[in-house]
Amino acid sequence: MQKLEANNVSYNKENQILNDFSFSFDQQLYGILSDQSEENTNVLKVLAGLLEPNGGKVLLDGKNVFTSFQKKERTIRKQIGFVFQYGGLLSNINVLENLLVPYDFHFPEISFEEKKKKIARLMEIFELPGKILTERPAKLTISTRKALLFIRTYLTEPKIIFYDDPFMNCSFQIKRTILQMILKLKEENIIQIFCESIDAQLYELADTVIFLQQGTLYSSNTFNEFKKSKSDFVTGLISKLLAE
Amino acid sequence: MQQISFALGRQTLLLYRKSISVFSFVLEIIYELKNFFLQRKITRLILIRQILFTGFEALGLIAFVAVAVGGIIILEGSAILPGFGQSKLLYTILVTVILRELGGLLTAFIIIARSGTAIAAELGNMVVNQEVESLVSFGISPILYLVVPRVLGVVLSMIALNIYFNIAALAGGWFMAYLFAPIPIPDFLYKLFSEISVSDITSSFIKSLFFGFIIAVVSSYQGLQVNFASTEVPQRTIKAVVLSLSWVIIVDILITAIMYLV
Repeated sequence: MQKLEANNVSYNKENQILNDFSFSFDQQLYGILSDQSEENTNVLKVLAGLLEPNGGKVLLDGKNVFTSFQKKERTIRKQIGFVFQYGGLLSNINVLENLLVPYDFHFPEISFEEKKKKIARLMEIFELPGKILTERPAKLTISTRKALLFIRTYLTEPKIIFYDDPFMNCSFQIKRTILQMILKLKEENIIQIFCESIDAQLYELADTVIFLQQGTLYSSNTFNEFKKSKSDFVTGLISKLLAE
Repeated sequence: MQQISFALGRQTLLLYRKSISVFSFVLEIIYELKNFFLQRKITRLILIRQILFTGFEALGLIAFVAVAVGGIIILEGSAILPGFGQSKLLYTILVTVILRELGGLLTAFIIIARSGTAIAAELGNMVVNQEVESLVSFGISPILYLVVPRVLGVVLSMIALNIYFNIAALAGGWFMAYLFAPIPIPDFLYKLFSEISVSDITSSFIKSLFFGFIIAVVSSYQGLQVNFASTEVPQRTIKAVVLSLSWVIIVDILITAIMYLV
């Protein structure tokens, strides 16, 4: 069974973003809520092994996710997907080439025709027209670009997916598809971890919500349980999220 | 006094760290070279595009500059040298100046202006737009995917363009010589080739190899040094141009000196 473990992880830049954070992520949907919402991206990047923690380790099945990249351990990175808040699509190649970059890298044995079929299937799910495959990302709407980030991540079928503000810049239709995909993957026991700053809906669907106070683990529970909380810190964060 | 020594120490430490950083960058490029051929599927396209942009699309400009330079050398030479009774040195000067020095240098300057700036700006913008980070998230080394194809593309283009520059400049020289004192091509070529030595060709090749490597490495390094703000991109691009020019000239002097010593 896949498990992502954060062991005493600390990360700081100008302020303490993660402080001695320990948590075990099983095959569930997790939401992270922090009083430093502007640092959510960095929290996810540390957990995904994209940023080096100042202290502690993030382990996937016992292997350090940050050093796995340094050591070129492709199998670890193959299992981790990251949907960026914005950008992330390579601007100097077209959409199809963009989608193929991680796919070709991790699955060179799959034929081009098969890859195209899978891409077409996902494009259909997101209701995106096939003709955009030959376009450069700059020509597309922000919402379409965001959908492509999801498609690119889902193509390689990672076992852990990080979502940085998944609903930001999404049209209603794309948001609905993303929600359906996340719920489908939840049923398939994929570890999914997200930070969302404009929509409470995903937190309500999450199995576990993790509250961070100045980078320290405050508490973890379901969102509905937290809603009943009397803590000023919890109610403050929830009402801020619901007000967005 | 103490403040001066502190400042000196700090600068030395900074320079040391920078040198280590550049050195490890170069080592990483060399290490990833072997992976480049294993990962042809994802890197081939970038190499082809780099050669197309740096090598093919610069042909017109290179031809124009080369023909003009070759012509000017003959023009100046045929005006000055007869006054000293040294007309026969015209071909020696043409070969020495074009093959040994100007061919490589001017081609490098053109590549810095066109491709060095483009590489630094492109990579800088890729960092800002999280494109580099997305590659890391897949487990793809940005050095393998972004830098190695650019280094190979620029080096191959530099070698090809240098050869092209030399041929075009010599042709320009012939054309100018023909205008002043019509000389049949076979005679011109005979006189020219009798002046060309193996060391001229070796020197020209080695220089273009090093120049291409320097331009690509410096520009890529500067581009990837951008952090988060798009305002850093022009600053890094300027730095890439200045450093590339400086290192190309330093290496040119070194290779020329070594070739004369050997």
